[in-house]
Amino acid sequence: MKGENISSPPKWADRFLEWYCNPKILEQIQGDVHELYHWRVEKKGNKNANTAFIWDVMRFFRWRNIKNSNTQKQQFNNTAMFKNYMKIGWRNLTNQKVPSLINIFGLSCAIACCLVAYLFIEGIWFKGMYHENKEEIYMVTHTGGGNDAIQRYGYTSSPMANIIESEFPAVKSAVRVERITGIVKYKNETFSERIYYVDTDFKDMFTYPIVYGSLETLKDLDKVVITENVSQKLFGTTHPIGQEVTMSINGEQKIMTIGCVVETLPSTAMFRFGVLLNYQHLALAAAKYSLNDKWKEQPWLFLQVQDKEQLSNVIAGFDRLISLQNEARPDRKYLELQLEPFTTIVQNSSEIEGGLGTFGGLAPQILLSMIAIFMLTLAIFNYVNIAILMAKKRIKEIGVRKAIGGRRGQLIFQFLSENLITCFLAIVLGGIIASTLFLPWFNELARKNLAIDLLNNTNLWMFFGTLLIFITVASGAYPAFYISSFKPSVIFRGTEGLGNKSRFTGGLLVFQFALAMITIVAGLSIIQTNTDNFKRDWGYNKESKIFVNTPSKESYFRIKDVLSQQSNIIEMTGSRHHVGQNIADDIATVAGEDYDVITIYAEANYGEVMDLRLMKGRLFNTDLAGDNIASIVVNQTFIDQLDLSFPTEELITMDSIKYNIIGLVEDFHYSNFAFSINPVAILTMPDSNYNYLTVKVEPGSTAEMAEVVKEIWHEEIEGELYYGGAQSDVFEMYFSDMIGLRNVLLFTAILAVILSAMGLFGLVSLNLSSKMKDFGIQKILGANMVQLSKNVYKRFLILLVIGCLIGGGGALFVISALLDSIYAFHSSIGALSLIMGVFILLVVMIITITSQFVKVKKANPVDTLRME
Amino acid sequence: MKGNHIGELEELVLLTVGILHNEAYGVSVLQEIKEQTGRDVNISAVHAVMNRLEEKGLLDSNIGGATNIRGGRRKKYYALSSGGRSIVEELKTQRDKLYNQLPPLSYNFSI
Repeated sequence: MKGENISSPPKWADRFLEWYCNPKILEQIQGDVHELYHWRVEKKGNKNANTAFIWDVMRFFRWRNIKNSNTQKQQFNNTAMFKNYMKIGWRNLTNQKVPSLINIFGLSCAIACCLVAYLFIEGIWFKGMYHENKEEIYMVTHTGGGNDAIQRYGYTSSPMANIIESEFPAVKSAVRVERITGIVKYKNETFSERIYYVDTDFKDMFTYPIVYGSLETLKDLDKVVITENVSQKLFGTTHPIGQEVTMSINGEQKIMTIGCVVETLPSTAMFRFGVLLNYQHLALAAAKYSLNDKWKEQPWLFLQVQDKEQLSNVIAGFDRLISLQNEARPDRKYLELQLEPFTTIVQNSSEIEGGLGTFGGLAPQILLSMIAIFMLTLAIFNYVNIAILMAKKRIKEIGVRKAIGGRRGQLIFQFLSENLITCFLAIVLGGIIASTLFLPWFNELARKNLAIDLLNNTNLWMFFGTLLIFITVASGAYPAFYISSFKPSVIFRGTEGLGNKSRFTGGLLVFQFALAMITIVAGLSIIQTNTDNFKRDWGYNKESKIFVNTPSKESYFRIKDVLSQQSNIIEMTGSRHHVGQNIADDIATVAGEDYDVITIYAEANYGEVMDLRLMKGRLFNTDLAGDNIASIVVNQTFIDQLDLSFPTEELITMDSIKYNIIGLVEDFHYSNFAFSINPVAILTMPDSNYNYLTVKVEPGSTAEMAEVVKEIWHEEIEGELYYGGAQSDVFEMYFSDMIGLRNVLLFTAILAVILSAMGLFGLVSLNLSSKMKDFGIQKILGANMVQLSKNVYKRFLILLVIGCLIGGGGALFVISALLDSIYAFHSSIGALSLIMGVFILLVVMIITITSQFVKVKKANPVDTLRME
Repeated sequence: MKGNHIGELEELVLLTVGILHNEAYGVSVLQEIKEQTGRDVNISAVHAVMNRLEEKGLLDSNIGGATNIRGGRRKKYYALSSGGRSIVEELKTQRDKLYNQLPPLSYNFSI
């Protein structure tokens, strides 16, 4: 035996030989190389023998000696082995139904969460990535200066497209895209649609699958292209091609024919149009203008450059365009023109003002991925814990396999391949849950149209594949390694102590409790914040006020005239901006320092009509000439942030006009609670160009009058969209979003609690079933239920307490960060929600454990002891 | 198989197997060749040649006993088959015949 210790050939080379060599001749070859090795060790020493051995092994690596090269039997054996693994795996699944169900159901819920999160994030990051020419398309952007701040803009002047098309040989096509929300009228019904005016090359540059007709009709000025969902909305089941709709184009009502229907845009679409029109419509209208006005049109401009080496030529040619622009529009000078690759538009959208592809903020993406990761962790931990306990029943099988020469690697491989079945089932079920339950629900909530599109979405297949492998390995690796590590002698002696490794199991359980705790606290805090925000004072009296948009000067006066005959109306006011709807940013200069402020331009009586709460000074007085041009009313924050005191002699400079502060009002919420309150200056303006009309009505008649106003508006104005209603409903959209968020978080919390309860259930039931004999003996000896169950309760209670402590700490940290990112105004995480979290988990735990002990209680000790 | 042509290494291995008589397997053949001719042949080459000779029907093989030094692995012994034997004979007569026709070495430069 000593000889073995002295020298043995390099293991990896030997393994390699075993791996590649045809088993039929392995014995002969391996024997020879080993014999040679030992001979060389004696003659030339270890080192030489080692290299010679490796060399021999390499030399044997020939086609003839390689596995399967001249025999097919090996492959058949493999498939048979896999078949057996699958069969055994399936039998194990069906044998232990409850734990398997817990595993599969938990995993599939987690997978469904992951799918929703993935689709949501994919829709943001992979916008437009399905266009065939995406690598060749560039967006033209420009930098320009306004108020000393140099900014990059996503649009360019319209005549540039013509110049580029005719004078730049490297550019295959230049396409302008202008988007407008407009009205489509069909048989006395009007629909608001996103209308895109595009150059005809649009159809070649970007690719859209067609349902009916041909995209060539884009050239025709009497035809329009619509998407399938718009077609269904307008015409229902009627064949859309050739139908006539009325559209307002350049202020003219035109009858257009449907020329082509393209497929409904996927959630990853870059352009979200409902209707496509030829850009010529805009260009023809512009032809009536002066040359200077043509340069005022600012569409998006996309270039297709096939040869990447030509890009520098294109950029070099931009200098002439810049000088043309600056000549035509000295007020709107371009500093530089750039090309932004189509593929990076979304990533850089935050830098490009007025570009396309809003990023939508990272917060929802992080939130959703967090939820998905939480769920996946919970489900995987359940799986690991239950798999280890389930393996206890087959530990003998492992012993036998090892005794007859099964290697550890083979066992691990077997467990992992069995695991693959579970995970595959879970993924299929997860896909079904996601598409039938989670996605429709989430789409309604987030106003999205996410869908699982297995036919066209290759990324999705990759995601499924990665997820399958990840889950299989993540959930199966530890149990497989752990279970296969036991020596057969230990197994047969029955002292392997499998499942008694409570520290690991306990650790996972603690982590689960902590995660569940965090999600519960998140849900409760959002509920708390929402109720607080519903009750929050808006800083002005929001009741008995109705606002409505007035698209033009004439319409403002018409509506005002008609409304003035209504008896319920107390007062009316006009404004360019409106609290809760639309505000403007500006820069105010005080004592040489610049501050960002919010400006609201309105009629002099706006403050009174809106019931802004005056603290000091006075509101505007139309009789005083100075009030109309050089006075502002500011809010409390304005005074605070600009370091002023009221009354002040200091003059505020905005747009090179000096203003005198005449009044101070309480802070009010001009935007929803996601935004903090910034300095606000209210300015007066003459009665031209009011965009909003606000009326104050008799208390109690708001709802009724809102209907009246809406009716009058529709009588007076045609071809425009109505925005308006009671002032108290102005944040309705925001509140419904917040309710949606609350529902998401509540749902997460419930799912998390269910998952950890299921894990606990599986653990307890497997634990108890292995102790049934213990219990039987104890019962015979006269133990009552309290004595029997005390230890189990105690153990899980300790775990729960640790979990709640960790989870509570984590919740304070994570949830306050979450709340800060969503709300500027929110309640803090109260002790109440923490206590509630602990309480919910405690109740769930006690119910779970007790439900298992009922079985112990009912079981007749005779049966349990007679078992086997 | 066209004819019974065999290569030089094949001939060497064939002869060595014949010499070793009942003791011929991979390593012993390799060592014998090294001892007798000083040639370093790789074991994989020996295997390849013996396999080929077996396919040509010149060698017979049988599986022999295990030894400790091989880690309990069995040897595959080779022996000359009757065809092999006759090829060896034939080669010998062929070579002799050719050798005999070689003109004697002449130190006479007068030609």
